[in-house]
Amino acid sequence: MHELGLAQSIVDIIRANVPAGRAAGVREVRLRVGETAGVLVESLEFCFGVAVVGTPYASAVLVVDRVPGHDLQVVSVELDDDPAGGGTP
Amino acid sequence: MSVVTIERKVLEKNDAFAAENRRRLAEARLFAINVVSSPGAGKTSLLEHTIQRLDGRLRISVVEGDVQTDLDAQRVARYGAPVVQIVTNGGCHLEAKLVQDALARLDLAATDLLVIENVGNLVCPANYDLGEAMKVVLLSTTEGDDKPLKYPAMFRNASVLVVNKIDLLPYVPCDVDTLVGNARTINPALRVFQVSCTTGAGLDDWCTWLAAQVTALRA
Repeated sequence: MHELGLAQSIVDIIRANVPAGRAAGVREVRLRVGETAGVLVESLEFCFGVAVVGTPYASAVLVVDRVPGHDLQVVSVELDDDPAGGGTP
Repeated sequence: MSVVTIERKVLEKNDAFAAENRRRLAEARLFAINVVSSPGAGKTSLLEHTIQRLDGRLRISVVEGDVQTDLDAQRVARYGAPVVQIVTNGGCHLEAKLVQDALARLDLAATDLLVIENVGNLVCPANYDLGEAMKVVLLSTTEGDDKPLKYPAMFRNASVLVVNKIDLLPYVPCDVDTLVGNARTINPALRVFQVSCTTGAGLDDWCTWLAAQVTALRA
Protein backbone atom coordinates (compact mmCIF):
# COMPACT_ATOMS: atom_id res chain seq x y z
CA MET A 1 0.00 0.00 0.00
CA HIS A 2 2.55 2.64 -0.88
CA GLU A 3 -0.20 4.95 -2.15
CA LEU A 4 -1.23 5.53 1.48
CA GLY A 5 2.25 6.82 2.27
CA LEU A 6 2.12 9.04 -0.80
CA ALA A 7 -1.30 10.38 0.23
CA GLN A 8 0.11 11.20 3.67
CA SER A 9 3.04 13.04 2.02
CA ILE A 10 0.58 15.05 -0.09
CA VAL A 11 -1.29 16.10 3.07
CA ASP A 12 2.04 17.12 4.68
CA ILE A 13 2.94 19.22 1.62
CA ILE A 14 -0.47 20.96 1.69
CA ARG A 15 -0.04 21.68 5.39
CA ALA A 16 3.41 23.17 4.75
CA ASN A 17 2.22 25.40 1.90
CA VAL A 18 -1.25 26.62 2.86
CA PRO A 19 -1.47 29.15 5.71
CA ALA A 20 -3.20 27.50 8.69
CA GLY A 21 -5.90 30.19 8.67
CA ARG A 22 -6.97 29.18 5.17
CA ALA A 23 -6.70 25.42 5.60
CA ALA A 24 -10.46 24.88 5.73
CA GLY A 25 -10.78 26.60 2.37
CA VAL A 26 -8.83 23.96 0.42
CA ARG A 27 -11.23 22.58 -2.19
CA GLU A 28 -9.03 21.04 -4.83
CA VAL A 29 -5.51 19.62 -4.86
CA ARG A 30 -3.95 19.34 -8.31
CA LEU A 31 -1.38 16.60 -8.86
CA ARG A 32 0.89 15.77 -11.77
CA VAL A 33 1.39 12.00 -12.07
CA GLY A 34 3.77 10.53 -14.63
CA GLU A 35 2.72 7.42 -16.55
CA THR A 36 5.81 5.63 -15.17
CA ALA A 37 5.71 7.06 -11.64
CA GLY A 38 4.53 3.69 -10.31
CA VAL A 39 1.30 5.13 -8.95
CA LEU A 40 -2.17 3.62 -9.28
CA VAL A 41 -4.29 6.78 -9.47
CA GLU A 42 -7.53 5.15 -8.29
CA SER A 43 -5.70 3.79 -5.25
CA LEU A 44 -4.10 7.18 -4.56
CA GLU A 45 -7.51 8.89 -4.73
CA PHE A 46 -8.93 6.37 -2.31
CA CYS A 47 -5.97 6.75 0.06
CA PHE A 48 -6.13 10.55 -0.12
CA GLY A 49 -9.75 10.32 1.04
CA VAL A 50 -8.52 8.32 4.03
CA ALA A 51 -5.52 10.57 4.74
CA VAL A 52 -7.63 13.76 4.99
CA VAL A 53 -10.07 12.37 7.57
CA GLY A 54 -9.77 14.50 10.68
CA THR A 55 -7.79 17.23 8.90
CA PRO A 56 -9.04 20.65 7.74
CA TYR A 57 -8.78 19.29 4.17
CA ALA A 58 -11.52 16.68 4.62
CA SER A 59 -13.61 18.16 1.80
CA ALA A 60 -10.69 18.57 -0.63
CA VAL A 61 -10.76 16.70 -3.94
CA LEU A 62 -7.72 15.31 -5.73
CA VAL A 63 -7.44 16.30 -9.41
CA VAL A 64 -4.85 14.31 -11.35
CA ASP A 65 -3.12 15.36 -14.58
CA ARG A 66 -1.49 12.35 -16.25
CA VAL A 67 1.78 13.22 -18.02
CA PRO A 68 4.56 11.19 -19.65
CA GLY A 69 7.61 10.36 -17.52
CA HIS A 70 8.24 9.76 -13.80
CA ASP A 71 6.90 13.04 -12.36
CA LEU A 72 4.96 12.89 -9.11
CA GLN A 73 4.26 16.44 -7.97
CA VAL A 74 1.78 18.52 -6.06
CA VAL A 75 1.12 21.32 -8.55
CA SER A 76 -1.29 23.65 -6.74
CA VAL A 77 -4.28 23.90 -4.46
CA GLU A 78 -7.48 25.79 -5.07
CA LEU A 79 -8.89 27.70 -2.11
CA ASP A 80 -12.28 29.12 -1.24
CA ASP A 81 -11.48 32.73 -0.46
CA ASP A 82 -14.10 32.89 2.25
CA PRO A 83 -15.04 29.37 3.30
CA ALA A 84 -18.27 29.11 5.21
CA GLY A 85 -17.44 29.03 8.88
CA GLY A 86 -13.84 29.02 7.74
CA GLY A 87 -10.70 30.59 8.95
CA THR A 88 -10.20 28.29 11.88
CA PRO A 89 -7.27 25.91 11.47
CA MET B 1 -11.53 30.95 -5.50
CA SER B 2 -7.80 31.48 -5.53
CA VAL B 3 -4.98 29.15 -6.47
CA VAL B 4 -1.79 28.60 -4.49
CA THR B 5 1.01 27.27 -6.66
CA ILE B 6 3.02 24.58 -4.86
CA GLU B 7 5.10 22.57 -7.39
CA ARG B 8 6.67 20.20 -4.87
CA LYS B 9 7.65 16.58 -5.42
CA VAL B 10 5.47 14.23 -3.38
CA LEU B 11 8.60 12.27 -2.44
CA GLU B 12 10.66 15.36 -1.58
CA LYS B 13 11.03 14.35 2.06
CA ASN B 14 12.31 10.89 1.10
CA ASP B 15 14.64 12.44 -1.48
CA ALA B 16 16.07 14.84 1.13
CA PHE B 17 16.85 11.94 3.49
CA ALA B 18 18.34 10.01 0.55
CA ALA B 19 20.61 12.94 -0.32
CA GLU B 20 21.75 13.11 3.30
CA ASN B 21 22.45 9.34 3.29
CA ARG B 22 24.39 9.69 0.03
CA ARG B 23 26.51 12.47 1.55
CA ARG B 24 27.30 10.35 4.61
CA LEU B 25 28.18 7.29 2.53
CA ALA B 26 30.45 9.41 0.30
CA GLU B 27 32.16 10.81 3.38
CA ALA B 28 32.82 7.27 4.60
CA ARG B 29 33.98 6.38 1.05
CA LEU B 30 32.01 3.19 0.92
CA PHE B 31 30.11 1.61 -1.95
CA ALA B 32 26.41 1.09 -1.26
CA ILE B 33 24.00 -1.08 -3.24
CA ASN B 34 20.23 -1.37 -2.89
CA VAL B 35 19.30 -4.97 -3.72
CA VAL B 36 15.73 -5.40 -4.98
CA SER B 37 13.73 -8.39 -6.22
CA SER B 38 10.48 -10.23 -5.73
CA PRO B 39 10.21 -12.42 -2.59
CA GLY B 40 12.20 -15.64 -2.89
CA ALA B 41 14.45 -14.65 -5.80
CA GLY B 42 17.49 -15.19 -3.59
CA LYS B 43 18.60 -11.80 -2.25
CA THR B 44 19.67 -13.18 1.12
CA SER B 45 21.32 -16.25 -0.46
CA LEU B 46 23.31 -14.01 -2.80
CA LEU B 47 24.32 -11.92 0.20
CA GLU B 48 25.43 -14.96 2.22
CA HIS B 49 27.60 -16.21 -0.64
CA THR B 50 28.97 -12.73 -1.34
CA ILE B 51 30.02 -12.23 2.29
CA GLN B 52 31.70 -15.64 2.39
CA ARG B 53 33.59 -15.14 -0.86
CA LEU B 54 34.75 -11.62 -0.03
CA ASP B 55 35.74 -12.49 3.55
CA GLY B 56 39.12 -10.93 4.27
CA ARG B 57 38.96 -8.78 1.11
CA LEU B 58 35.99 -6.47 1.79
CA ARG B 59 34.37 -5.42 5.04
CA ILE B 60 30.63 -5.77 4.35
CA SER B 61 27.85 -4.29 6.46
CA VAL B 62 24.20 -5.07 5.84
CA VAL B 63 20.84 -3.38 6.26
CA GLU B 64 18.01 -5.92 6.07
CA GLY B 65 14.48 -4.85 5.20
CA ASP B 66 11.55 -7.15 5.84
CA VAL B 67 7.84 -6.84 6.49
CA GLN B 68 8.17 -9.08 9.54
CA THR B 69 10.83 -11.03 11.49
CA ASP B 70 14.61 -10.73 11.76
CA LEU B 71 15.18 -14.13 10.13
CA ASP B 72 17.29 -12.61 7.34
CA ALA B 73 19.43 -10.64 9.80
CA GLN B 74 20.03 -13.90 11.70
CA ARG B 75 21.12 -15.63 8.48
CA VAL B 76 23.55 -12.84 7.58
CA ALA B 77 24.92 -12.47 11.13
CA ARG B 78 26.07 -16.11 10.98
CA TYR B 79 28.73 -15.02 8.50
CA GLY B 80 30.07 -12.36 10.86
CA ALA B 81 28.83 -9.28 8.99
CA PRO B 82 27.45 -6.37 11.05
CA VAL B 83 23.73 -6.24 10.28
CA VAL B 84 20.79 -4.03 11.20
CA GLN B 85 17.28 -5.33 10.63
CA ILE B 86 14.51 -2.93 9.64
CA VAL B 87 11.01 -4.36 10.14
CA THR B 88 8.50 -2.34 8.12
CA ASN B 89 5.39 -3.84 9.78
CA GLY B 90 3.53 -4.12 6.51
CA GLY B 91 5.36 -1.40 4.60
CA CYS B 92 6.06 -2.64 1.05
CA HIS B 93 9.45 -0.92 0.60
CA LEU B 94 12.30 0.73 2.51
CA GLU B 95 12.37 4.51 2.76
CA ALA B 96 15.44 6.71 3.11
CA LYS B 97 14.62 7.78 6.69
CA LEU B 98 14.51 4.13 7.83
CA VAL B 99 17.91 3.55 6.23
CA GLN B 100 19.28 6.69 7.87
CA ASP B 101 18.29 5.34 11.29
CA ALA B 102 19.92 2.01 10.43
CA LEU B 103 23.15 3.69 9.28
CA ALA B 104 23.44 5.33 12.71
CA ARG B 105 23.76 1.84 14.18
CA LEU B 106 26.57 0.71 11.85
CA ASP B 107 30.28 1.56 11.93
CA LEU B 108 30.58 3.13 8.48
CA ALA B 109 34.29 3.85 8.96
CA ALA B 110 34.83 0.09 9.26
CA THR B 111 32.77 -0.73 6.15
CA ASP B 112 33.89 -1.04 2.52
CA LEU B 113 30.64 -2.28 1.03
CA LEU B 114 27.13 -1.58 2.33
CA VAL B 115 24.40 -3.89 1.11
CA ILE B 116 20.82 -2.73 1.66
CA GLU B 117 18.50 -5.68 1.12
CA ASN B 118 15.12 -4.17 0.31
CA VAL B 119 11.71 -5.68 1.04
CA GLY B 120 10.88 -8.43 -1.48
CA ASN B 121 8.73 -6.54 -3.99
CA LEU B 122 9.34 -5.84 -7.67
CA VAL B 123 7.09 -2.74 -7.69
CA CYS B 124 7.25 -0.13 -4.93
CA PRO B 125 10.99 -0.07 -4.06
CA ALA B 126 11.71 1.17 -7.61
CA ASN B 127 10.49 4.65 -6.73
CA TYR B 128 12.30 5.19 -3.43
CA ASP B 129 15.85 6.48 -3.50
CA LEU B 130 17.70 5.36 -0.37
CA GLY B 131 20.98 7.17 -1.09
CA GLU B 132 22.64 4.10 -2.65
CA ALA B 133 25.25 4.22 -5.43
CA MET B 134 23.08 1.92 -7.51
CA LYS B 135 20.16 -0.48 -7.47
CA VAL B 136 20.90 -4.13 -8.17
CA VAL B 137 17.85 -6.05 -9.35
CA LEU B 138 17.82 -9.80 -8.85
CA LEU B 139 15.58 -12.01 -10.97
CA SER B 140 15.46 -15.79 -10.70
CA THR B 141 14.86 -18.11 -13.63
CA THR B 142 11.80 -19.63 -11.93
CA GLU B 143 9.98 -16.29 -12.18
CA GLY B 144 9.94 -16.37 -15.98
CA ASP B 145 11.69 -14.42 -18.73
CA ASP B 146 8.81 -11.93 -19.22
CA LYS B 147 9.18 -10.20 -15.85
CA PRO B 148 11.35 -7.25 -17.02
CA LEU B 149 8.52 -6.26 -19.39
CA LYS B 150 5.88 -6.63 -16.68
CA TYR B 151 7.80 -4.65 -14.03
CA PRO B 152 9.67 -2.11 -16.16
CA ALA B 153 10.27 0.60 -13.52
CA MET B 154 12.50 -1.66 -11.47
CA PHE B 155 14.65 -2.61 -14.46
CA ARG B 156 14.79 0.98 -15.71
CA ASN B 157 16.02 2.28 -12.36
CA ALA B 158 18.58 -0.49 -11.74
CA SER B 159 22.17 -0.47 -12.99
CA VAL B 160 22.83 -4.19 -12.55
CA LEU B 161 20.75 -7.31 -13.20
CA VAL B 162 21.71 -10.53 -11.44
CA VAL B 163 19.95 -13.57 -12.91
CA ASN B 164 19.84 -16.18 -10.15
CA LYS B 165 19.06 -19.95 -10.13
CA ILE B 166 20.61 -20.59 -13.54
CA ASP B 167 21.16 -24.20 -12.39
CA LEU B 168 17.37 -24.64 -12.75
CA LEU B 169 17.27 -23.58 -16.43
CA PRO B 170 16.87 -27.17 -17.71
CA TYR B 171 13.72 -27.57 -15.62
CA VAL B 172 11.85 -24.29 -16.03
CA PRO B 173 10.24 -22.57 -19.04
CA CYS B 174 12.65 -19.64 -18.96
CA ASP B 175 15.00 -18.64 -21.75
CA VAL B 176 17.84 -16.65 -20.26
CA ASP B 177 18.65 -14.84 -23.54
CA THR B 178 15.01 -13.74 -23.80
CA LEU B 179 15.09 -12.64 -20.16
CA VAL B 180 18.23 -10.54 -20.65
CA GLY B 181 16.94 -9.23 -24.00
CA ASN B 182 13.69 -8.12 -22.36
CA ALA B 183 15.62 -6.40 -19.56
CA ARG B 184 17.85 -4.57 -22.05
CA THR B 185 14.82 -3.45 -24.06
CA ILE B 186 13.84 -1.52 -20.94
CA ASN B 187 17.39 -0.50 -19.99
CA PRO B 188 20.14 -1.07 -22.59
CA ALA B 189 22.86 -0.06 -20.10
CA LEU B 190 22.13 -2.88 -17.63
CA ARG B 191 25.19 -4.87 -16.56
CA VAL B 192 24.20 -8.54 -16.28
CA PHE B 193 25.53 -11.38 -14.13
CA GLN B 194 24.21 -14.94 -14.37
CA VAL B 195 24.65 -16.87 -11.14
CA SER B 196 23.55 -19.85 -9.14
CA CYS B 197 23.77 -19.61 -5.37
CA THR B 198 23.33 -23.39 -5.26
CA THR B 199 26.24 -24.42 -7.53
CA GLY B 200 28.30 -21.24 -7.11
CA ALA B 201 28.35 -20.58 -10.86
CA GLY B 202 29.02 -16.95 -11.78
CA LEU B 203 29.56 -15.80 -8.21
CA ASP B 204 33.28 -15.13 -8.69
CA ASP B 205 32.53 -12.67 -11.52
CA TRP B 206 29.94 -10.91 -9.39
CA CYS B 207 32.29 -10.64 -6.38
CA THR B 208 35.22 -9.49 -8.53
CA TRP B 209 33.05 -6.74 -9.99
CA LEU B 210 31.86 -5.65 -6.51
CA ALA B 211 35.44 -5.47 -5.21
CA ALA B 212 36.42 -3.43 -8.28
CA GLN B 213 33.66 -0.89 -7.53
CA VAL B 214 35.05 -0.36 -4.03
CA THR B 215 38.60 -0.02 -5.39
CA ALA B 216 37.48 2.47 -8.04
CA LEU B 217 35.67 4.54 -5.43
CA ARG B 218 38.82 4.84 -3.35
CA ALA B 219 41.33 5.34 -6.17
